[in-house]
Amino acid sequence: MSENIDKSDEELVALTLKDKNHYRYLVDRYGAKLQRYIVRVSGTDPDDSADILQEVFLKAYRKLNDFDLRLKFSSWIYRIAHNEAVTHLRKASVRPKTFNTETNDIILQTLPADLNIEQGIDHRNLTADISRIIAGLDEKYRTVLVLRYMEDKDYKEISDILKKPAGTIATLLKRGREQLLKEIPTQKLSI
Amino acid sequence: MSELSEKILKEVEEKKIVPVPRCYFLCREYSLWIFFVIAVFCASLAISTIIFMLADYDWEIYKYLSRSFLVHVLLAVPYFWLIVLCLVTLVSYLTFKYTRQGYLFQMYAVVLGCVSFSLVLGVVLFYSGVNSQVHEVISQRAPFYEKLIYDKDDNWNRPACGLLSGEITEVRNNNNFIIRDFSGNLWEMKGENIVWPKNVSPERGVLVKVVGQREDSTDIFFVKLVKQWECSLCH
Repeated sequence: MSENIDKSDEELVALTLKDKNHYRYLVDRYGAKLQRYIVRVSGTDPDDSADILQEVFLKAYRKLNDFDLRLKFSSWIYRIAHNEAVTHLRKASVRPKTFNTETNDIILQTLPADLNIEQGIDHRNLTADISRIIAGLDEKYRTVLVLRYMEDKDYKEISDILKKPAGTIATLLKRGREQLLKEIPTQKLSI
Repeated sequence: MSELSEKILKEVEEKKIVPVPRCYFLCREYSLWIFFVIAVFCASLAISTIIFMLADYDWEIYKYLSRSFLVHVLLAVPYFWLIVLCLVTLVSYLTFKYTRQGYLFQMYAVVLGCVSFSLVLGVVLFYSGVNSQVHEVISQRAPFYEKLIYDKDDNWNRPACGLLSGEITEVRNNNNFIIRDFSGNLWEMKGENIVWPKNVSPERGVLVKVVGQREDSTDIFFVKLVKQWECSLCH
């Protein structure tokens, strides 16, 4: 089965529907990414995020026949993860306080240019501060900013994940960036 | 194999979890589309009935009913059907939104699309005459409906105000005929050089509206104007 590692997500879905053992490749491919995303959106601790993640994969397995080939598999499974994370977040009524900044390098490739943040600043501090501010934003802005700047998703993918029109995503991103900029002085960002 | 995938597969095995059949999701999708089509059709029906009611409204008789034109206009608004239209448009929007690709469209685009399509179909239904049948069927089966809409029969059964309507039962000549109003009373119509509308002929069985003046407390009515009972556009 090791040749399955090179197969596309869609091929793996088709194979899983014939034999459940192929599902492990999809779980291995998306496990870490989804767990990180769940933590970023819901602010849960590692134990809770592992439980949510397990529920995501079980739900995805049950709904495998609902996977729409017009979507990317990643968008489809992120959508399930997003819904689970948000459900957990609403049940717990908590707001994430911070993100794991080790994996946030993608922020530095895109966000400073979008926010007109000067180059040559302390990137480690910048990443940590931006992560902290994003974590404190409203859920609707936080999720689009996380998907765009931390998960490196394009507008179409974000639209498919959040089930919102691309125009709405663009508006949310714009407002999210504005909120972020507004928060920067009050949070004493080190730039 | 990672610890997570091992755990997931073990869980799938133990709980005997199987993927939900594809037909379930297809049924769900088709059901949404069927509801959407039904909702859009109902919206069209509501629009055609609104057009019918506005076309059939007696815009000019407010002066005989001692009411202001503004009140007369407000009474013409088909509130019941406007509420029905809003509700079915909401249903059509919600059902469309929950289809697989529904989220790709903005709310205003979906609502505008539904209303535009319903408007076109509504005009077609209006000219096909479906709306008057809908109007009639609901009037017969839902007693509350009559109270919610403009009561044409009542407005045209006010001889003291100079308004009468009914079925012609006898024609003596173009200036003298008998009608039976919708309460069953017989009225003798008299006039001088009565101008009959082009599409109304003085014949037995024809439904007419008459503007005129009652002679004291008799059952004689002096005719100023004869009109067709239904508007020329309505069927």
